[in-house]
Amino acid sequence: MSTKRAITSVRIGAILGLLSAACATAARDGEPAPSAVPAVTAPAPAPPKPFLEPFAILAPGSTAQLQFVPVPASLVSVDMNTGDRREVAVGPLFVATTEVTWDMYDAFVFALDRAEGEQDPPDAWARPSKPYILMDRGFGHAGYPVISVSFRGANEFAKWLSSKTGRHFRLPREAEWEHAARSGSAGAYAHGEDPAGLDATAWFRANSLTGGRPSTHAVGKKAANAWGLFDVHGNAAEWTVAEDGTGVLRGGSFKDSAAKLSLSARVPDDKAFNQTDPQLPKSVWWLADGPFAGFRVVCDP
Amino acid sequence: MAPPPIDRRAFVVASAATAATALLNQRAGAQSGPTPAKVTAKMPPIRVGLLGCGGRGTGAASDAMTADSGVEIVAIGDVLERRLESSCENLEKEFPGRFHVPAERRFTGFDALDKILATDVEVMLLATPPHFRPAQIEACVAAGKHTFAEKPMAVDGPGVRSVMESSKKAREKSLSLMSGFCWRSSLPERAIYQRILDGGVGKIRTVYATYNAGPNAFVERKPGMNDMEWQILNWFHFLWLGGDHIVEQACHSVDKINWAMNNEPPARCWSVGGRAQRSEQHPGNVFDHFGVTYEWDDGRRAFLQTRQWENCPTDNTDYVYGEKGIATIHGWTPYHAIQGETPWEYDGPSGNMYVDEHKEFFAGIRSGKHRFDGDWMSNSTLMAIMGRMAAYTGQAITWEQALKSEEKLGPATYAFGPVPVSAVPRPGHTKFA
Repeated sequence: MSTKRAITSVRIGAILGLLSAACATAARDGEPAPSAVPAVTAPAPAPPKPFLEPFAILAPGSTAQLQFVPVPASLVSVDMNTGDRREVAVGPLFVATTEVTWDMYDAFVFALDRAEGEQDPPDAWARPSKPYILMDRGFGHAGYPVISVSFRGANEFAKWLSSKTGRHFRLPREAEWEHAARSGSAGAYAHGEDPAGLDATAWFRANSLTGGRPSTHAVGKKAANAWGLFDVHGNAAEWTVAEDGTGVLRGGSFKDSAAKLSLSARVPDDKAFNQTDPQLPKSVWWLADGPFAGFRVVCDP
Repeated sequence: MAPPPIDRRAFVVASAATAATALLNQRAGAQSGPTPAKVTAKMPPIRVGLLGCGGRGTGAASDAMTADSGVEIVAIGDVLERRLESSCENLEKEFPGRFHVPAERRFTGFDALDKILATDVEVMLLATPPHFRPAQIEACVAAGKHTFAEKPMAVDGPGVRSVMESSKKAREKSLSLMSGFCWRSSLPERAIYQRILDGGVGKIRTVYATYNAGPNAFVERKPGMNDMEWQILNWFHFLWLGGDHIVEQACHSVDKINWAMNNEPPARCWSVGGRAQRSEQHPGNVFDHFGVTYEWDDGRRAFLQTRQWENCPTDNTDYVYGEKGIATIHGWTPYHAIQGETPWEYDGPSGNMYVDEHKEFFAGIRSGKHRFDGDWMSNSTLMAIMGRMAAYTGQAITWEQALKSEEKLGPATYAFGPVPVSAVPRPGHTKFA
């Protein structure tokens, strides 16, 4: 376990060398130093301005660690949810290297972060309802990406995480997600144009079978993209915020074929994701027909 | 706005033909599943009552209205007024202009069903906590109503016997009686279980089924809330209301075991169970895990594992092991396949079992070919109850014992006020009754 983490840290450290310069130019003066304990240390070339350093947090109420790497600022072309495209400015920002996992989301749902007798603050954010069944579909739990979560559930998780840590976590805007996932690639995928390369980077229809059925896998087991982000293609499809504020899934999922994993593929939120919830009102938190829907969070510097 | 009159005879013939096609599809193991009677705006209305206005009951009303455009919810009831009102609001929102139940047809209290049955309803949807189901089914059948009853059918032996008796009467009266064992209406499940029953895995030796879920929600007790209201809102957690999670939740898995075994009851069973995560302070008196071995006299066995644990992987799978193959049924993904001499994998549509069951239910009422689950729904329920009895007592329990059990759970009469909570059972010490 510790060996794997060390390898990951080394890889992130190497990437930092590339990123720190870009982030330094984009970062504002007087940027406060990250308050959390850094999981990895960047090379320290005494930069002229403060630059963004990766950091890690312990998800509240769990022992799971969430790592963040800086992503440089850029202008990104994005779909306006109307078919039109527009260039928008993104970044710099921190992006979680992995999708949010069940152990982190469980803490949120079951209030494992709350001390005996402690009350949640009113109105700041809401915890999801406890599901009638856990919605992991039996694929795996701790270390596996949370799935079947609604856009709202993903948003509230980020608000909860912010209120617990004092940092500003949120879902990525679509443009931010695509920019971070692309990590400089001009191709259909983060690794380039050839779908054959997906086997090394993604869990998807062609390689995700467990006991005969497509399923999610533990996060961070395939190769990361150039900026250190794992599973941007496949595993859980990831909730992002479209320019009009609605939810859009990006990156494709364990169930999808290669074409649906492309960096331009987008699946807007749809009532069909919860069509067979047998309750009325249908859950606003859990997607009976959305076993593909998960997310990762980003953090504003 | 009364619908224009139609030739009733012509309509019946047409829908009977549709139902016959549905039956053929089903026999052929086709993947198209239940075909509803063709519903048009000209369909005569069917007057439906709903009892039990929680999320599931409201959902069942929605499913019924979605399944058949002639369905009109004309009366509605619940023990709690605020839940009834929020149910009506949700249905008005979901079916604007179509759902309208006037105040004088909204009934609250423990006698709400009697008041609904005194109206002109033809069909009842029952979705209260399971404890009340046997008496409700009895009343509905006595009143000549077609009935949809959410699962499970009962929480104790006397309740099952009552439902068996009501089922007989429903059949004699040619009434539809559909249970909420919804997987029986799921297209992939229908296809694979039909294949299994047709010999797709050879002679069945063993079934292994899991219903490993997370903990249920709990409604906080507000100041002034009496025992009865608090327990009804938290019915999952109280033995007398829900029958414990093996009976109210894992009964789906038990029902699929019963399906694979062609509704032949096991001779006996023994179990383990307890409260591994629920502390003594945790409200309620139900277990959080069970493991049951069911045994048939010819040596077949079925194993059930079920739990409601937090921070643990979940699973809802059935494995049917036969002499010529193994069938795997994943409820939640879904994945349905047979490996062995004749490999097979379901690749048809998933459908929406909650709506599909109501399509079949109402098509049957219209055509006279009634959906009737009475032959097996009581057996599935009793199988779950005997598993619980074996876990509570620590003893092997026979089918005959369970069927003749005189233990009747819950208070003798129902009123808002104090309701004692029985002690959590202790295997080896709790006596069979």
